[in-house]
Amino acid sequence: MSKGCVWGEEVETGNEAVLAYRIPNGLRPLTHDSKGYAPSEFVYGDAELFFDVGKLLGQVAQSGSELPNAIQYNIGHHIAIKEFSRMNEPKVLLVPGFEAVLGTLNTDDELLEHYTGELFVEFGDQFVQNTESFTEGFNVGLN
Amino acid sequence: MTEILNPHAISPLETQYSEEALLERERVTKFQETLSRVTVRPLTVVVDTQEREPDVAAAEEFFRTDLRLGTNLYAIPELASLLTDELTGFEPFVSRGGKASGHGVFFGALTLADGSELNVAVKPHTANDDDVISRRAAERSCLKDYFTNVSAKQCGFESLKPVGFIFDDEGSPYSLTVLDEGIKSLESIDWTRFYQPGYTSEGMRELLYKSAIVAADLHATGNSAHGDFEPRNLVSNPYGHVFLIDWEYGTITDAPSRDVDERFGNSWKDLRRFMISLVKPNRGKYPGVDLFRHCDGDYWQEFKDIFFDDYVEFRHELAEQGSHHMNRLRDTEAELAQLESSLKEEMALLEKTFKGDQPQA
Repeated sequence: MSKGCVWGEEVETGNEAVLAYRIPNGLRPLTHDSKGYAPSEFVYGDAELFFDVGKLLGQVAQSGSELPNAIQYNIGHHIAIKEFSRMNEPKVLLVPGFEAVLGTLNTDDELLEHYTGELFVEFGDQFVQNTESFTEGFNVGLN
Repeated sequence: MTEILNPHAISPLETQYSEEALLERERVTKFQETLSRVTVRPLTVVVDTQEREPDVAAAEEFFRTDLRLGTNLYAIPELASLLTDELTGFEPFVSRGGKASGHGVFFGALTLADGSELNVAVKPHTANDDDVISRRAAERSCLKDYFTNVSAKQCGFESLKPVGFIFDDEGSPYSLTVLDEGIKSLESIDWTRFYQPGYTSEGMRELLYKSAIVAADLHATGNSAHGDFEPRNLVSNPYGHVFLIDWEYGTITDAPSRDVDERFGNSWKDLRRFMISLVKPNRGKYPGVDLFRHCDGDYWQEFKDIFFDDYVEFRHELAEQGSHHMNRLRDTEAELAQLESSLKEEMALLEKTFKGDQPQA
């Protein structure tokens, strides 16, 4: 968890083409947690959420050996949000299997453009209103 | 708006906090102070679900047998031994859903005597500290919330596990339940997509179907109601169960209803509220989920298709079970006929008011 990844237990699916993992309670795909709230000390608002998503994706980019890594699609399904967390715990995490949708892009700018487009499609206005937080987080993650 | 520096820094953003957020900090600090002076007492009051109003009877019993001096945490017996009088350890959690609660519910970890932690949800029943009448009203509300939850569990309804409640001579009472991290309020779903062309709504339909079963089960005896039957108080867990939380306005009993009017009063109260909360847009102090935003059809017919017909079917099935079912069937038929015509009328008004009422850009 401290490295931003969820430890998932593999579940038998009976289908070799499908990998499934059981992840801890309290973690949900970001896609399914679209409701936003105003931030406060104990309420994890959209600005913080997209800052942390940006930071996590910035860290993913940094993990590439030569070119920056990118989650190509369905970003909201490959990031989980922890519903209840302590102050200093990570709130968003990569879920098992995210490696399957990893690709590379040439530059960090291309990457930012890619994510901005994808997240707009997935989260609409909720993302548009927090693009600045996302970019800020992304730059923190890159550094 | 008041700008303050977040001492715990959720993320390195500079955050503008509202007055409401500052009150939230005050609520948590007050609770931590309250905990530092509590005496833990095992709660011995028995809730009798054969009573017509089990929560009222239990509250009266509690007031008769407890002196209510000082600051006391009345805990369920199996937890009382694990909770200590020096409960200074409460670490608040950060969550997405805190503000969704009109009650100002907050979450955190309580430290137990054996060094382990118990994750809890804390609901303050706010009172004006200097006003005895206001404090008594808050205590009543706290007891109703607690005992109705216990009553619901005893009557076989899935609900949150109670921990106990705190009464404090110097401040507001609190009711505590075990924090179930796996549950998710139905309100947290974006229901506005339900009728959006091309959107797959099977998952949402399944949740509405399960909500209809919950409602039918609740109203089957005729004398029980939740009182605040809305998506925000319906939750789903990872096992696919849907159940109700927040019983503060409810009555759950095994005692049978007196007549058709009483049956109707209970089911009408819950289903009317539910229907309104489905239709109302997501604005204002008590917003709805705006389910019909993209619906071009007849609202009542749609509500029947996605909820009410299932509710009626389950009510019939439940009425046919057990002995003396002929009377119950007859009463249920009369109640449901009245319910359908009243809900239909209400829905026509809602449709007139809200159809085409799009949110401001």
